[in-house]
Amino acid sequence: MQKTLLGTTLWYVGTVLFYAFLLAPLAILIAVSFNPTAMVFPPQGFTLKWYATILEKPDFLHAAWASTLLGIMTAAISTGFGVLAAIGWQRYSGLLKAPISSLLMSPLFIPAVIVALALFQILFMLGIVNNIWTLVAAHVVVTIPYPIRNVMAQMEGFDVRLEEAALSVGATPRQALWRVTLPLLKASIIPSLIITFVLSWNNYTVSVFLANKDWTTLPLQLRAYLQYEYEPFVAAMSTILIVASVILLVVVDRTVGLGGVKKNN
Amino acid sequence: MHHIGVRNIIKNWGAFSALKDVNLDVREGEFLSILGPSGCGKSTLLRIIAGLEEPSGGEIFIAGQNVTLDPVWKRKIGFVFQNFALWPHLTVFRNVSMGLELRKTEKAELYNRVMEALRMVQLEALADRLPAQLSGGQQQRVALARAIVLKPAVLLLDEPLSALDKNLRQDMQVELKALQQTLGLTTIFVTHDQEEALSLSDRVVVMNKGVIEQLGTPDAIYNQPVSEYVAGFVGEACFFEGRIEGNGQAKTLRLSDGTAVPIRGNGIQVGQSAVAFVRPEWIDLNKLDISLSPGSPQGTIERLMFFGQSSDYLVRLGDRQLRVKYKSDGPRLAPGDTVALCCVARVLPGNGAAS
Ligand SMILES: Nc1ncnc2c1ncn2[C@@H]1O[C@H](COP(=O)(O)OP(=O)(O)OP(=O)(O)O)[C@@H](O)[C@H]1O
Ligand SMILES: [Mg+2]
Repeated sequence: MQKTLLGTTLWYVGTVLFYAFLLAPLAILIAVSFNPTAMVFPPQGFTLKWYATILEKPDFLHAAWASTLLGIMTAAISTGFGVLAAIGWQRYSGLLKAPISSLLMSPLFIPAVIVALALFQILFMLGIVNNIWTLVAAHVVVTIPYPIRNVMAQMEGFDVRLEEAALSVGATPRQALWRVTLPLLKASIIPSLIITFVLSWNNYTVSVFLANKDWTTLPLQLRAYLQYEYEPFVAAMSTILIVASVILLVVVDRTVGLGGVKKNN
Repeated sequence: MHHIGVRNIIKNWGAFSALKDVNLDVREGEFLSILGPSGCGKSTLLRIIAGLEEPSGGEIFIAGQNVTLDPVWKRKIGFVFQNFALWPHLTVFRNVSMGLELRKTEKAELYNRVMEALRMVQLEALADRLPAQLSGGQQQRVALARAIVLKPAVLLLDEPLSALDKNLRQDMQVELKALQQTLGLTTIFVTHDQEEALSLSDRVVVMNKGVIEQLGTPDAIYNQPVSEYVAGFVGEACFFEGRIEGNGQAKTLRLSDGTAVPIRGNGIQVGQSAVAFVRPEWIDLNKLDISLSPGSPQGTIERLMFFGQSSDYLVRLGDRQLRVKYKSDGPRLAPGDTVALCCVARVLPGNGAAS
């Protein structure tokens, strides 16, 4: 009894410390964003002026727009390919089944900076100038393992007879895919879209090599700005990002469930 | 006039041949069962007829058309899967209406036809449920409604009742048969349950290791099997091996232990060696006066097995055990009683060797 009580107490203390350590900097950042005096803690009052100054910085608005667009394209393409790869992989039963799976997962194990450098090198050698498509391609490469893994996990329990049943009532294979397979894979497709979007939105390592002036993403813009000065408006910007991420996660959790992100079904 | 024609169908999985030159004609409106043990190729044959599997050789005809190269969705078939394969994300109504939606059926007609199909399987009240909210029997009915709503030329069923418990299975057998007769559907029904095959079918195909052993009416399959394999698979059978003796009408099979069993059958020739079999209900047990049946095989009662509506005696006969149906007008026997077996065994053609 004594022992369990002690154990429980330690468990709670540990958990609280752990989260405090993780979340305290974020809390301070958020607090700072409402602070009228620059960069002091605890805050000296309350203001929204830093949020207003964001609107006066067109660079940041443009970067936010670029990141959003890039995130949407990355999510769509990466998840699209991921779904196709997972479906194809499940149906294929040759000798290369295991190697192909490892190959598809490899971006997970190679540091993103190396992937980015390699892509940069190739594009440079081919004489291709950085543009939105090189950036999208790079983001797809580093994010694709996530949708593949999610969809594969769900495909594992997928009964091909559900598709055969569709064929038996007159569906072509394409109709069977759209009406039966994809709706059933929704529980892994939607989380995949969100994850790939968030990964792309937050990515710095790959973008730093492959973005150009027109497609400076938000993380790049923040970093560039911080090199020269620090103003609480950066905290305001970050707060917006944090809140946006939380909202996104809550929406996913309420609609398809966050369980889908990890194990599906 | 045949409605489904299977011609020289071969199917190989790598070096393993699952179907070896299968030929079969199914008549229009006929209920035909394919019966055989696990792994004999029943599903493979049915899936080839449906177009879900490609044959390695041979041709399939449906209603006079060669459909061998047609994909599933172009053959006018209804297919019912063993685990029902209902689409879990769609309601009962949408499960049934999918085929009509794909054919761009007009709204009012679609509604009427779906509801009519659901009425036939007594499910109109559950049209808005999801499959997960249905019992096994109800799911099975949805699968049936989904297959018949398109008015297919043929209905193919792969062990559709094997997931149901015994009582429900018997109810569904009756319903299925009634539905099939009402609609006059040419039906192929795969099962490994011999009673189911015998009771439902116009004709039964017995398969073994990728070949058709026998095709015939349930009566012919049960009473005049062509091989030891068929005789043993479609019912309880006890086999006797010996040499045919006799004069005039009465022929007997002389067994190696010196006893003799009366036999019947086609093309019996004295002097030949042969295999004959008896069914449990063909045998009378005779205790009081063994001398009435001189030379008959004799056995010992081991026990009585009670099944409710009927009972079987287990009788030891040398080194084997056989079942004999208990008859209320026969003698009451107790374990340990010695009995004579009075029966007429049926001789299997061609020495009864499995082909
Ligand atoms: N996709 C496949 N690849 C390799 N072998 C297969 C495949 N499908 C079936 N087989 C083999 O073909 C044979 C016939 O299979 P089939 O499914 O037709 O048997 P069945 O008579 O329906 O048996 P059951 O009563 O168990 O359903 C089996 O030996 C099986 O192992
Ligand atoms: Mg089978």
